[in-house]
Amino acid sequence: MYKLIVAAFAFMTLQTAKAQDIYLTRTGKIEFHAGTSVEDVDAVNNEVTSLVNTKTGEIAFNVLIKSFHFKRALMEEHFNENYLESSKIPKATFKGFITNLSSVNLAKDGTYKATVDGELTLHGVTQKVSIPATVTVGGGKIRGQGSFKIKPEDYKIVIPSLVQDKVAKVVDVIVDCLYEPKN
Amino acid sequence: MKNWISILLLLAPFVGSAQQKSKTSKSTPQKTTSTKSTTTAPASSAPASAKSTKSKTVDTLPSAPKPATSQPATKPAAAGGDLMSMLDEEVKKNPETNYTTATFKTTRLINAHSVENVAAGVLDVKISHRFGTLNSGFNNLFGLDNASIRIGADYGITNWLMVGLGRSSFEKQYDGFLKLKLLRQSSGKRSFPFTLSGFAGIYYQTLPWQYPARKNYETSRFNYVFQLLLARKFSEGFSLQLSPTLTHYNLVPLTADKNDMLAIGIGARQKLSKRVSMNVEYYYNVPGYSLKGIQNPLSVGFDVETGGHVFQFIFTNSTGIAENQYLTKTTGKWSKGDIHFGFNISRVFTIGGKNRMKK
Repeated sequence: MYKLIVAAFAFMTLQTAKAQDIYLTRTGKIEFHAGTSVEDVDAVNNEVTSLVNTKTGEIAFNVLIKSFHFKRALMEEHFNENYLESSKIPKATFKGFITNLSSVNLAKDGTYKATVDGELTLHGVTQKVSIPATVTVGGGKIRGQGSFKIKPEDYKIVIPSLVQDKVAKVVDVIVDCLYEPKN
Repeated sequence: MKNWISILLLLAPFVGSAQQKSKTSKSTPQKTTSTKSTTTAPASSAPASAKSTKSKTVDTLPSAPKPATSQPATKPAAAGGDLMSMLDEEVKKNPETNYTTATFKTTRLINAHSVENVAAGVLDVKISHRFGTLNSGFNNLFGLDNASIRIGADYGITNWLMVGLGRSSFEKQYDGFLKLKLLRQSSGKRSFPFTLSGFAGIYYQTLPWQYPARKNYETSRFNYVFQLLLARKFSEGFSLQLSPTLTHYNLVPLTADKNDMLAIGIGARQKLSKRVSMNVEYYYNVPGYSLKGIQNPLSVGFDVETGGHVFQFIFTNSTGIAENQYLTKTTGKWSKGDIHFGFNISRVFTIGGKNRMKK
């Protein structure tokens, strides 16, 4: 009888571990390089919010467009006003999951190669992306790093003909986030 | 007694999911609606595994219940919405203040200043040109033969303080100014309805003295202009600015003239496309506080922005370009055709300062 009660309570506490499955970062970094040999177009965003569910392998990102910072103020103003129209569409989001979760043990320290598949919504347009990533687990934190390429035209980002040779047709995006358990 | 065990075990998954939602480690099982919405997956598989362990729980701790691994691979896509809504909650926890940018395309509305400042470390080279008046006839190619120009440069010391220097051919005048951004329009965490800037300019005329025989003072060559610039970006396309102005002349033309002149300016810009806008600017000289015979300056312009340049194409009744000339020396009348066509070219160079990417 006593063993039954212990078993039942142990069962209940196992369920509460679910809260510890969610990892969060509010200072995730995403940078992109959209320049050509004529001009550098680089920006970095250090205020990315992202969640990872370590049990299911789901990942979600929330990226505020106005938090991308450029070396040149005018470039940042044009990026927001003319290219990404951030007053109309203030953020970009990503939701997806780690496809090879079985080979990535997020509970154990180590470095794992992973593939993250999902949908990126940028400038109001949603496209499927597949991101090769490296996941490093250590010290109770998870670091996710990945890079992929996107085409501005896929997201209806218009580059005027006058500056065609200054902005790349394929943009490199680099993601680097350090997650901690959400409380 | 067996009924008692089964009730306990069936209740367990609801306790677990309720605790996940409420974020406190010690909560009594709450049978609220929140348990139903998010955790359908564990709830559906846990009772199944609970039933399977029922026969074994006498001896061992239940090791079977790991609901996540029993989910098929397609589950994450369906439950992705839950993580997204959790993320939206997280983002809402830290609301940001959104400062309004680009109320106007450049630091001048048409002739007079807008609330915009040049960013820190940025040099803005300005070339302004006004042709002669349209009513000067075909012989003078409707004014294209004449010119009044100003060459100048503005520099951003910080994001809220800028300095400028320039020289005008009209009255051979040198000018310098400081513009300070005092309040910024914002929305979000901290909301504020308008942008307020302060402007102070000093003007030095270098024409030969009109009456060289009498004693002339060097200080008589100086004029000053002080402005408060109040603007609001109403929408992505429309911005409006009010500019109360005080102009001070050390030396006025007539004894009847006052040294301090007041004017109130109103300007607006309407975006016609992403990179083209139309601007209007009018200054009303307060009667009794302005020079005799002076007209109110009215200007209409188009801004075209291309990469690092802003081109402003202007029609105005004012010959002078610097603030004191524009405000207090306009003699032309639109109704008589004393309209100058002109342009401003603004070219931005980033030269100074901190690496903004590290912000």
